[in-house]
Amino acid sequence: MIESGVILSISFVEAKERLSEIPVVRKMNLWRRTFRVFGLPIQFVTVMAVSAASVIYLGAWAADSKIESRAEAFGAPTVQNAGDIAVSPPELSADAVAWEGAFLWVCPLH
Amino acid sequence: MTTPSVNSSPGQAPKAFYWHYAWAIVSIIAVMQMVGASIRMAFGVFIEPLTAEFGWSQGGITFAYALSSVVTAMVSPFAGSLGDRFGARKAMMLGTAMFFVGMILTGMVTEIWHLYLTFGVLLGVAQAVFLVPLIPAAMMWFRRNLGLGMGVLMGAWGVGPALAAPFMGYLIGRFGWHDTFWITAFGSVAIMFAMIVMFRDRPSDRDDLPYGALPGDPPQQKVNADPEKVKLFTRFMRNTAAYWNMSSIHFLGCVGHAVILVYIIPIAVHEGVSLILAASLLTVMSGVSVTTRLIVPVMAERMGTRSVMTVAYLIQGLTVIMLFWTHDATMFYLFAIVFGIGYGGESGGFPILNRKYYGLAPVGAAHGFQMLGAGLGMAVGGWVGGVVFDITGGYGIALGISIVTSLAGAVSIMMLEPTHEPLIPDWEAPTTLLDAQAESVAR
Repeated sequence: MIESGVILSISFVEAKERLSEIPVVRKMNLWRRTFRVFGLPIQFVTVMAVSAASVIYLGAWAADSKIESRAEAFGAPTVQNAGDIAVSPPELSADAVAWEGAFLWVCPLH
Repeated sequence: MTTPSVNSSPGQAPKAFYWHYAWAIVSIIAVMQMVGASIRMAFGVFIEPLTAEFGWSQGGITFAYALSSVVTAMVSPFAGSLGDRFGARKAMMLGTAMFFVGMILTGMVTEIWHLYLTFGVLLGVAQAVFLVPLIPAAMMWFRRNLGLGMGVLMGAWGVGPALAAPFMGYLIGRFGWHDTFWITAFGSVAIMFAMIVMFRDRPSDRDDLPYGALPGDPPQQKVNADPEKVKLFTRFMRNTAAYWNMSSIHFLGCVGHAVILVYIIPIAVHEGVSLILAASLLTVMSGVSVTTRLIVPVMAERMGTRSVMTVAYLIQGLTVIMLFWTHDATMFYLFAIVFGIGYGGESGGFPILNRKYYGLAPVGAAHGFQMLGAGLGMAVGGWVGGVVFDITGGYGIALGISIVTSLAGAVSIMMLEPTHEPLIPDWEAPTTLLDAQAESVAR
């Protein structure tokens, strides 16, 4: 049983032991478990989500920039007709348009 | 039949270093790593001959390299489990056979998709199958002083790139790229086969005890682990947050140094440093990193794994800030030396963490999952600098990403569980006690 005010004057280890005596705290098991999202640790989920978002954003930014620079150089294609190979200049490969289109489709900000 | 090597007699102080077959195993694994990974490390020397013969673009050819790295990363968790289930020796045999077929076929490519299939997919899978089980196998040979063994292995890993590229360059100049693949295939497989013959999965295969064993330690099992028990322990590992977080930490660390390793030469050239001097920066980094790869696992074992790893990540991240104000060759060399310290120390702590968290249980699955994080990190780090340069015409954002990921890795390491007690039940305890131990671990 923890009396109010007492916990401030005891060591961390002792406080941890006393807290662990409380059934609700023991059930939460804060000392070993971490918060989880879909069963995965939040630290891992955060790193992966931020990295995936950054890769998508940078990829879409690069695609947008390439399409814009081609549009400036040749007058076509633009972001709107990037998938239209017929209006692309000869040196533009279909693969390049495919990856650009994929990034732009996935990224909600481009 | 050999006489079991015990660390000390009763009453004597344990020795830190003494002769043991574990050192032969470490040497075998070091050679396997250098020989097996040499072709990927030296891939750059094949770009020019392939472009000259087939007219393929550099981007098209280097996609095969990227594909190979990603395939290796994706297959790593399965390769780790394969080593746990069937033993590293069998995994090495399978990987070596795949490596041989992949190398011979790569020497025969005539279309770029052939290159993707043979070099990208087949050699990518082969590298995972024979390389990933090696570190967990080495760990089986050390009951104590694991840091010493891992230090030697990590140090040897840094030597490979320094030797492979000039040697491959010489072979291409003398015999052409087709024959270089075939000569390397036969030469490498002959060396790897000799290594496999001498390799043993565990000390009990030679009636020996692990390095650092003391009188009174529980005996090591003599056959491959019961698959059901391996499965059970892998499940225990996957339930720990550390299993997932170590992979994401390795990912962050690898993004942090991949940006620098891939783009330090163009960055230096962009600042007016000559190409030859700029290229030597990589040599300086690799040379310094060999020293820290050797030292960090030993320090991690003795001074606290999380602390040492945090310092390595901090050095790796904070050093990159220097590059914003680095404009001459001297400063670039200073950067290369300090960055090499952090970069070399980035990966050395993971085997020690595995041992601290999972004890003597087979850690192939955990190691494979960490290799997945590392491989993806190298791929993302290598890609991001080029994209950022294409968009902005500079490397500032890429350097920022390198700094942020390394520092985020340091913070993540600090948030890992303490290492003073294992996170899963004792592997060597009788199976009947597992439930009780699992219960106490959960508490």
